[in-house]
Amino acid sequence: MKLHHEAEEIRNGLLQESFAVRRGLEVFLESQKRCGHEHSSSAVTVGYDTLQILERFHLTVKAWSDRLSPPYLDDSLPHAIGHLVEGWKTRYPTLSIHLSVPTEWPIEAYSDHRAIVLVLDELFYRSSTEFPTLSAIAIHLYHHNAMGKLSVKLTQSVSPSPEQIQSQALIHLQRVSQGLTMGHCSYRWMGSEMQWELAWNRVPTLGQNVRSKH
Amino acid sequence: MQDTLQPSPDSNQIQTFLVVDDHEMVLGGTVAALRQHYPNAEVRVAQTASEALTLLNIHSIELVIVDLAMPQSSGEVARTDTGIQLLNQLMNQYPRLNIVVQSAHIRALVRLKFSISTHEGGFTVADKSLPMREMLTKVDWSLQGLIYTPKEMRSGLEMKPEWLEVLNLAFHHGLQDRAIAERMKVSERSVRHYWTKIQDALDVYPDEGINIRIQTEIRAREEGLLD
Repeated sequence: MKLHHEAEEIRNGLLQESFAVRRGLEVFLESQKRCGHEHSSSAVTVGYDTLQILERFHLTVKAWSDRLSPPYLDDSLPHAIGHLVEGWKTRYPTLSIHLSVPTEWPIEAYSDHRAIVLVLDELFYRSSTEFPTLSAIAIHLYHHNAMGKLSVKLTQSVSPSPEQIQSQALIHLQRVSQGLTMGHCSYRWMGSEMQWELAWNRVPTLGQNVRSKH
Repeated sequence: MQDTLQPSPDSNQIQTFLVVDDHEMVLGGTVAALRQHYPNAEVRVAQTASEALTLLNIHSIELVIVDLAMPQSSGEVARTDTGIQLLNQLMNQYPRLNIVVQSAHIRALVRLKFSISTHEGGFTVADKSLPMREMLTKVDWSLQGLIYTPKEMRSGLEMKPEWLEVLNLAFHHGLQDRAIAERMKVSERSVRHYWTKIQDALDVYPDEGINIRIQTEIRAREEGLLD
């Protein structure tokens, strides 16, 4: 939560000020252009150069706030997982990654969403390092009654070695997942596929998805 | 898009805009940009959700540019929930109001997907990282009644049955909007609004030299929505 608060302070503070400075400079440069001073003033040239720097600064700070608090954790678990998976696809373009999430999902506590996304990201990281022949990942988010469920199928191109089956990292991750989500986590091997299952009690917050009254 | 920003073609009409943001410097920059692009527009400001609703009740406003993180009243803490509730209230009370969400928290809009999909006015989204030119394009689009939502906010291609019916009647049967409206037993305005929703879902937006209906058909075929 501390990181989330820091991210919010950046979004509500530094990013707002960055926006205000950029916009003021853009309005000034546009007024100079309309007066025909675009090419005659070195100050205007410096202004455009400064604007480029400010735009890069704003995007860098925005990316920083996203690293502190990944997007959508406050708003939508399906979107949060979707954003995470898009990052994986960019980093591992040859890996087949399939995601199945519902379009509607009640908003749970930020900490619950963060725990699930953290576990998923760690599972991917561990798999990508421990299973060099990893060829496909299929992620399925769904709910059954009051339980939220995350199912991940990892497919290798070869059968796992005894060391991979007994991976201490995965055993540790299984325990941590249960601790963080207060739920149940299990995994099993079926040939060259590993099926990872996480289940937790969903506790919707008051910040439900808002529907129109008309 | 144009290389240089020109005053809006509709700048001769008196329009009233409302900018809602709790940061004074942000308000100043946005108001300055709007007055430059819409020199005849009256631009009003509000720094809280309560103030915004009061101004909307008093004045006839064509467009609202609203941040998401704001306080309910003066002296309170700015919260994204407050901005979300304000937006929902605006769309309920003023279903044809043109809205631009300008915020560093645009991802929170996923909570309003249903309300946005049924809103009858323009609705566009401008992240505060956008250059001024692109923000003003989003303002122009909203004033035209168009819908623009960032692709990352959508869960794949979501097409409502009535939108698919519009595509079918337009591109399989060759009907114009009035005939489509008669066939679907809705108003012509509703049909035009369905088009904006379809185009947003297919990532089709106005651009120089582009015939937007033909581009819509091309995209619909690419997505397998038309045989």
